[in-house]
Amino acid sequence: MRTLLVLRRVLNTVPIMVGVAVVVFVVMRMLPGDPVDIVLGQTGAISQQDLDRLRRDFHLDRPVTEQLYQFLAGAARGDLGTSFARRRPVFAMLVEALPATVELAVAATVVALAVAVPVGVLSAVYQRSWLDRLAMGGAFLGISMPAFWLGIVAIIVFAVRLGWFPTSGRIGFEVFLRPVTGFVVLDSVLTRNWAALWDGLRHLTLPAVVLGAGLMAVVARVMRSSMIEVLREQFVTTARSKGLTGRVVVLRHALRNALIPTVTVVGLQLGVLLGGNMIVETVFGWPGMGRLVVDAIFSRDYPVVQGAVMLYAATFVLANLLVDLCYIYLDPRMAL
Amino acid sequence: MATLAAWVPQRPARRGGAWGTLARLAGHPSAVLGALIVAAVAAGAVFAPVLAPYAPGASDLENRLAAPSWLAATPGGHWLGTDGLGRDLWSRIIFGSRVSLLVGLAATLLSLLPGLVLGLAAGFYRGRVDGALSRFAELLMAFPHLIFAIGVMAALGPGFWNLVAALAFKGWVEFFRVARGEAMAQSAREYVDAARAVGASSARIVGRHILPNMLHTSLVLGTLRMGHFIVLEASLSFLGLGLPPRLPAWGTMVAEGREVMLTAWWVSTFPGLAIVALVLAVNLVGEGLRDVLDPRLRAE
Repeated sequence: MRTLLVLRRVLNTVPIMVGVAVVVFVVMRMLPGDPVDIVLGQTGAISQQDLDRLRRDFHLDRPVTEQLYQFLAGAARGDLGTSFARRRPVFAMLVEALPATVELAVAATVVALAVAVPVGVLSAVYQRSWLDRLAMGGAFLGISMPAFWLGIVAIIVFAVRLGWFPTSGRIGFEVFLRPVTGFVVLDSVLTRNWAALWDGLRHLTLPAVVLGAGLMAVVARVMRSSMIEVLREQFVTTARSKGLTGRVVVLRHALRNALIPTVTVVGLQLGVLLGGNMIVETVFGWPGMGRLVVDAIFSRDYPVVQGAVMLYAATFVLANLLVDLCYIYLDPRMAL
Repeated sequence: MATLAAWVPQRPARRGGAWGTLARLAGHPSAVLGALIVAAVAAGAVFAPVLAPYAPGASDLENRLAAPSWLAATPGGHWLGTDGLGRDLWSRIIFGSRVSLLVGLAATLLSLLPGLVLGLAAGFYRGRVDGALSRFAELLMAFPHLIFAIGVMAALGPGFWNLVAALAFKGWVEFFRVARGEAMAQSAREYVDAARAVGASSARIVGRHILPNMLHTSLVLGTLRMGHFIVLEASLSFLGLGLPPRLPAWGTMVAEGREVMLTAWWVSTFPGLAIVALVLAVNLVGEGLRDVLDPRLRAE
């Protein structure tokens, strides 16, 4: 039964992904002006023949339905077209930028959960204490704070004034690191390059904390409220009356149940994390997908924007799929 | 008599009506604080030309990047300092409140109304239209909001209504989902059967019975979403995808300050604080409304 549920959920993502591609295609065709003009805008005078050739190259001389078909077929093969500005396959550009983005997103999630889960649990156990009030006040502030501003303030305070962290980038120019996987932290551990690890972590800290702050705030609040709810349930009372200590009851019995709504929220917040990554990468000069897209918007490099939006949406859909699968695993009732 | 009264279809409980809600909100300290801040920002937006000491675009080129007047004696008395073009930050922040408030309000209304109407219709009538709308909503849910808005703004170009459209085009989905769920739940309730039994038309049932029962949910969601829209607008402006750059928007101001953050920290910091204060205030009102109107939503 569980397998069937998983299978159905997995298959459900296929029409959504096709729909996503159609929506992206339609939005990009709403763009004012001819993409060819945009390319030529950078090169100056050009003959009618070159113009026609470019139209053919970008398949702009075909009917829209055929263009849509070509686009969908290409996307299914991982072919997202060619960048106007750099004349390189969009897919390759995105794949190159992906490790930086994933590294930052994972670090942000780890930071957020490492702080938010314990804080949420403690806030629930010591409800209405000064700790609870302080934590929830901080979480409320975190929800209301835009990431780009938090990032700039963090740079001003911790990088410029205190000099604890570098202001931008992923690794210092003077540090040499042999690329293996493209993940700085992983590569420096693999090649036992401890100087690079230290430098990489120093570069990673501020952006990860800034990107994770919003998630941290939301998770702490949800964790607290679901923990409060679980602690009121009968099985917790039973566990207590068996003579188990408070710590065992909270950590063994209540935590797992309270984590279920948290998992859902983390999944929903991944969209915020993905969107935030564009902002945070721009603020910290982090060479990932987000910055690639923002640069592409300003150089009107639409194939890159199009491809990246699709990749973001695909990641979001897959992340939600994973969350649902986690849910099936965490909550045995789902398998009935 | 009592048994008979129980069978008479009644209008749903009004929970004390609008005045009752306001009275209970007045007893909620953080909501009052939020409302006061929102009122102050709104007053600033309305009376900006009177309140601002300088015109938002007026540049004092001799006093570029002047520090706040309480930190260093600057001629002209710019109490929050000036930006790279010598424009008074305080004046620009006051004028910038118009962008945040108007975009936030317009995006919220243009998300709430279609979302509510379509959600009501889909949840009450079900059928094929519901199926199509729900699939479409599901599709839009697959896009992170900021990324979707960035894509739309890249396509439409800068402008007030473009900005509102970029936010609302996906923003209605949340209202739709909540309204649809509510409408489905309400139409299964006994009072709807009772109303139908006494011959009420569908339109009457929806308008007189179901809608009043779910307005408060939409109101709470709307207030909370408004804070979110304000942050989104600021983020788009920060990326240069909001209004035309000559207009003072808080997000744009933070972006302008970024270029000089190593020497003039105030240029980014103060507009950003304005965003935080407004969003915080709107969220405080929203959470207050939720506590008063719909404690069930707390689980969210």
